[in-house]
Amino acid sequence: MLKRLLNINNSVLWAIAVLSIIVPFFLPNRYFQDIAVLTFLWAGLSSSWNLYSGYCGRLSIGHAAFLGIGAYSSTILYVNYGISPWIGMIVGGLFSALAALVIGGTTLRLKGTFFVLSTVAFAEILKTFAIVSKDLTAGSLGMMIPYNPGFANMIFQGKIPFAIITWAYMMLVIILCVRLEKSKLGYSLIAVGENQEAAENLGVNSTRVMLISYVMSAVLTSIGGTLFAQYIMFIEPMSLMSVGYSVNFILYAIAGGMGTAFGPMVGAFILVPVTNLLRGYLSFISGLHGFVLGMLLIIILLFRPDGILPQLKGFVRKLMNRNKNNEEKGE
Amino acid sequence: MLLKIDNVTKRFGGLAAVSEVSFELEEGIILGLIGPNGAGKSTLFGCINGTLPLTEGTVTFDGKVISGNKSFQNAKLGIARSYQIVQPFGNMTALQNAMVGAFCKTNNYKEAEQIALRSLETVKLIKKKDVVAKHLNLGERKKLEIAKALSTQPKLLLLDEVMAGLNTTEVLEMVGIIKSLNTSGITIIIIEHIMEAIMNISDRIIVLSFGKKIAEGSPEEISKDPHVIEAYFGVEEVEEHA
Repeated sequence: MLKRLLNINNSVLWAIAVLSIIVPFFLPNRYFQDIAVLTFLWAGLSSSWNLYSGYCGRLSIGHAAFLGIGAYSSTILYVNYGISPWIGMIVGGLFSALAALVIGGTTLRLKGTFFVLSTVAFAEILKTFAIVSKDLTAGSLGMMIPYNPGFANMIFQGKIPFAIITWAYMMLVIILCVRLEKSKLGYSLIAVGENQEAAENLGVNSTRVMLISYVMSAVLTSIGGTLFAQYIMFIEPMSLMSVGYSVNFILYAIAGGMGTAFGPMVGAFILVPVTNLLRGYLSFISGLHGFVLGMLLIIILLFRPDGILPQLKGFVRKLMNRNKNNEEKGE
Repeated sequence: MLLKIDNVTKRFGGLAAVSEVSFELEEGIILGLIGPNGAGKSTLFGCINGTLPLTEGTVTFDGKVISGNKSFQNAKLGIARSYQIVQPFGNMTALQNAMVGAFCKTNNYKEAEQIALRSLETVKLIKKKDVVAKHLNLGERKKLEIAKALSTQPKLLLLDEVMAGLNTTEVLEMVGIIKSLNTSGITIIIIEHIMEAIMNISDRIIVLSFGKKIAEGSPEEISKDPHVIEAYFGVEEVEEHA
């Protein structure tokens, strides 16, 4: 009974993830479709962040750096050299993997707040680099991607193709997270997050485990960065690599449930539309949407400190226990 | 010899927590490690399994010098340790806790699950396999600590005060578990303050005091050894003056 319902619980999440692709087709106009694309994209990005920080419990507040690497790699290659963003996406992934290896190799052994701070520093350094190296990135002017629709250019007419691509991206990351949860790497990673010394005593090479998942997380984030650039068609360091963007990754994951495969998706599915709709409909008083969103977040974290998802699961479990007890009494 | 400790010294700054300890351990026995608080017993465990780097000396395991190894490398070689202060992965279930250890020797999920289930069965915790570790009581956590270590399929198991804080029934159960582990072929070093228990299960006992080995022998020899009595109860001043 208990197991079956828990499984149903998970299949519901699978169903939501898979069937969400239908939603953009039924949305009335481009405004709502735009929100759908951003929702998929952020669900994927936040899940990528979750792959390391969520499971290991060590916050990276500098993931916008990898978003930036992905966005800039493909954009520079496309705008300056005419290379397809699909290839740029892979190049960006390689760059991000390299950056994650170097940064992770030096900072992952730092404990607690020091790791957090070093990730912020890393994003800030990259941002400054993008602003200063004007020849390469056009500095704070930003880079515009010329509108030239075509599959090879990863530019499309209408929002639907992008909704499909970003949805596929989100699904890819979620599937990887689900598989991680059932793997040696996942178990080791969660154990390291819980208690590093105890994990090492059980044969877990904590540095290696953290580095592998940090690199995976960085590469996936970087892929999202390319999609982001191709969708917005304009990138600029001040916003792209800002702490504000880095915080988004964390926000959705925490609201939905850190360290659960579907948590970031749930968080993004609720918060991204709400954020955008509030911005759209509460524009009569400037700043009101931010206020309402802030209140909403406070309420979520006050009543659901582990995120929405784990609490839901806990609730289902409680219900089932009650059923079970009743059944036993009945016998 | 399964384990050879040669002249091992561990200093923290000026303080020698373990100094010039040597002993050998043949396969298949239970070695008791006793001594007053602060004698360096847990530190010695740290030196053996690689949690603490040695200041001097060598540790040889299964014919290989392992001093200088990290603890995860030693775990792969077959040394597992349980902690005095239990260290469960609080948000994972008992089964998942044990599976982390099981993944030490296998990459396969199903296989790891089987190994973990067997360990939980051995320590009689199988009924609680789906309980999240932070909801277990102390006795169960102590068992889980052993199950985790056991899942790494060790040749040598270092047990650090697994009975402390348990009631009489639980102590008896634990003694039974440790004996059955030993029968299944695992060599064990055990730190314990409950004298009845340790005298009962140990084949040999080593006594540490202020970081030094002061006695080694069978439980009967140890209980009569004047150095040991001195370390535990102090010397009667009358005798010294006389």
